[in-house]
Amino acid sequence: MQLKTKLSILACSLLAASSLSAEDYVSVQFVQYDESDDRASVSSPSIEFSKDFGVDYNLKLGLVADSISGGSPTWFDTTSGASAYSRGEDIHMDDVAYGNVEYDDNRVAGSALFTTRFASRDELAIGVNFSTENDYRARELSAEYLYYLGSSKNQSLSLGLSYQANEVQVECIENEACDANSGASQTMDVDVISAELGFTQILNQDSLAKVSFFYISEDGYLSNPYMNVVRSYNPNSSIVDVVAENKPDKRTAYGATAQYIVAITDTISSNSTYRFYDDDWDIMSHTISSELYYELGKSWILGAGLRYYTQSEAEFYRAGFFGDETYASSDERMRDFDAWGYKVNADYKILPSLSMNVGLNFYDQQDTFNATYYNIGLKYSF
Amino acid sequence: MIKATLVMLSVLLFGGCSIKDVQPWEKETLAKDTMKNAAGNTLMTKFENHIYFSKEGSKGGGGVAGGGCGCN
Amino acid sequence: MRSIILTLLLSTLLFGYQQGDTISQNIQDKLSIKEDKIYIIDFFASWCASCEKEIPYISKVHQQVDSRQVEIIGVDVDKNIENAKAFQKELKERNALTFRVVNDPENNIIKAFKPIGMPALFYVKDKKVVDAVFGAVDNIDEVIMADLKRLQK
Repeated sequence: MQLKTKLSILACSLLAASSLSAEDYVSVQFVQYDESDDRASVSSPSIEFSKDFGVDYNLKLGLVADSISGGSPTWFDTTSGASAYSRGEDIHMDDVAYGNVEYDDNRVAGSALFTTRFASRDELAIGVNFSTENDYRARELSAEYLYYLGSSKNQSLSLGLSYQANEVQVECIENEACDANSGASQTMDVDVISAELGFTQILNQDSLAKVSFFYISEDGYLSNPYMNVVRSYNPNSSIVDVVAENKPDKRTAYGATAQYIVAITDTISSNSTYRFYDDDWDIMSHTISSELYYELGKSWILGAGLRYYTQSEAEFYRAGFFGDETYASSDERMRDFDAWGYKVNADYKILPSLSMNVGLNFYDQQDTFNATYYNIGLKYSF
Repeated sequence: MIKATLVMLSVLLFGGCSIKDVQPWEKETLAKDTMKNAAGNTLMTKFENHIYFSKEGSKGGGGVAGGGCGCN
Repeated sequence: MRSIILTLLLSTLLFGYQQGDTISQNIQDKLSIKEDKIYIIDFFASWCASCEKEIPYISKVHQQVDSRQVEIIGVDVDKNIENAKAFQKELKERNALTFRVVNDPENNIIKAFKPIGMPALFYVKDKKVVDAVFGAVDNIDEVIMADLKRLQK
């Protein structure tokens, strides 16, 4: 007699990478993000839709629309308030200062992720992402394979690869190919390849751990078209040259993460992650984050989280004036700093198929800004 | 061979914790939402990652399908 | 070929029932397996979403077969009996669950069968395990009907 076997699975899949655990839902969310000192303000509604097709396929679609306004720091002309650029005219060092310049932008981003489960119950997820804003367009193709080791499915390997072909609109300030004074712009490319290899191990009925290694390689116009630097300060005339920043056109980064998720009691669980990052711009960072969840009764899940981030400075960063170094940037994100993040949230099950969540978050970046943001969302399962 | 290497890798990495071969019917706790990243709130994770990638100097570590951002 | 793979797989189960094994008297009593008809044992739990998806299809089979020849027994492995009862009640209310269920909060029954995944369906004929289907399967009702046809020959 022939015995039939459909190889098993952990039908209720719980390893982070997998999306196939009987998921049909629509989720909407709104986030309001505000920085201190009239810096950026973002209103961000988003929606996600997930549908299973039989037991072997799942499709997820997502859309987010950000409306951004406020100020972004760069060197500005103290008289006009606009970004400063020499462009052939003399600028006196007393007429420039580093601070916020107003801007606004709208960003729309969409994503689609299609997951297939094979006879072996391993999974392949193919994703496409796109994002557009006033002067930036991103397109990404990604693939991630989840491979289970052993029949108990307590260990798995995941390998993810992605390729981004992005475009930045840059004003022709220092490029011979376009007219420097015309204000015309040209399209510059940025290609990004990233890879991540992860290993997840279920330790016991109440906990699991994951380690991963990642690699990111960027190539193209990596400077920010809105950021400038002050060069060539002439001590006799106090004239400075204010020009667009110049970051290298390649950036290679490596990193690793370690994560531990544990159910401490039947109602309390914690999820902690450490990430190490290092790149060839000399930026090295450490991120530690931890979240705690508490199930209150049958309908509430209360959560709290803490995040600490610290990074070192890029080799070409300077807050002050530059000389004739090739690479130069005063971009705050390239300096060395610490940042703390705190959050609290609550999820309430209104009905078996409908839940609501609210959250309050606070982010404090040393010496630059802090931000408060709240989120509210609904999830309907069908 | 691969399995043996990975078992050794797990022992090395997860050292002090003893690893138990959990059976399918013992996975009730592991199946809970609170045992997943962000307790299952993927939309908020996406927003947060976007903030961090835009305001800090590092990226990566959260899976590859992140999408591009105008955060050069 | 498939039976070789299967035997190898089942043999890795160490202590679970293998093809052709007779179910112990203890388990027979727990499941009330008295006769020599075909029994289909479906292991599920409230926390197993794929198991929940299959239950209505298995109930459909239950309506279609002659209970003097084929009997379906659900085994709910929730450790918390309150969860088990609430889950089964909700399923019955929407007519998704029509076959009888045995609660296995100590997991003694499932440990005897030791399936390699959930949901798990075992076919028992003449008090022996003769076949099994592990994992989420599309149109499980059609799969079961085809298996029954084969087993009843």
